Amino acid sequence: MTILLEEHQNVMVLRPEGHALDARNAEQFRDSVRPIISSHSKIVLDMSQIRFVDSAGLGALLSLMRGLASQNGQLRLVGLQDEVLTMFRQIRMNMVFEIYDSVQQATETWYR
Amino acid sequence: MNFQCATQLDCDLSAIDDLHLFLREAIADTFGDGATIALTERIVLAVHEAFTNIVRHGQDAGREQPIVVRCLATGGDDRATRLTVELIDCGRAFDPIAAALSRAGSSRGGVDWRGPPSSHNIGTTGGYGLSMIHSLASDLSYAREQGRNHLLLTFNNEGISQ
Repeated sequence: MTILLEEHQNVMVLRPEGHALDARNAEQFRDSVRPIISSHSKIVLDMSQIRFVDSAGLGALLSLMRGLASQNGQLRLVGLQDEVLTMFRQIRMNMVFEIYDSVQQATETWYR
Repeated sequence: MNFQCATQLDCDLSAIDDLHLFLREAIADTFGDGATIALTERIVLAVHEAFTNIVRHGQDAGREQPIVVRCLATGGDDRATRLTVELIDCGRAFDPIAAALSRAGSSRGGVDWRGPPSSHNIGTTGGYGLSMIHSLASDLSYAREQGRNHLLLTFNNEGISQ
C-alpha cells in the first residue's frame, strides 16, 4: 500500500492509495505509519480512496489512534466513502473516531 | 422466492476481491432494490471476516482445498427477505460461535451479541473479527460434517417485513 504524505501547519495528512484497508495490507499500513507518528502529533487520514475496511484495518486505525493519544496527539479521519461510513455506523466506530468531511475542516478546528 | 448460487475460491487472501464480487452480485439478485448500502456492507463484511478467519486460522491442513461459498435466498413472494451464506472448508475444526463464547468468558449472557465491538474490546488492537461476525449476522450456525467445517450466516433484510 502506498501512502502519500503532505504536511502543512504542523499537520501531517496521510492519503493511503488503494480501495481497501483490510487483512491484505493492514500490517503494511501499521509499519508505514509507525515512524510518522513518532515525529507528528496531529494526523489527518484522508480515506477518500478506501471503500472497504475490515477488522484488521480497523485494528490498524485504532492502533494509530492509540499511538498518537499516548503522546498527546490526535487522529482525524476525512473523506469516508458511503460504504465505509455506513460500516462505521453499524459497529458504532463513528463514535470512536473523530470524523470530518474534509482535510480543511479537520485542520481548521485545531487552529481556531 | 428461492434463489441459489455457489462458487469455489482459493484458500488465500488474494481471493478476497472475487469473494466480494460474488457476494455483491448475489445480494443484488436476492434483494433487488432492497439491497441498500447498509445491508450490502453488513453482509459483505461479515462473510469477509468469516472467510479471512478460515484462511488465517482454520486451513492448516487443507490449504490446497478451495473454500466453497453458497448463497441461498428465501422468503417473500416476489422478492427474497433473507439471504443465507454458507462457507465450507476442509481445514481443522473451528467453531467461531464457541470461540466467541470462550473469548467472552464462556457465558452467552455476558456477551452483547448485537452490540458494537467497541463495547467489549476497544482496549485491544485485534480480535474484532469474531465479534463483528456475531454483531452483523442475524443468525449463525456451525457444523462439522465429514471432515469439513460448515458455517452458515443468515441475514434478514430488516427493511422488509418478515
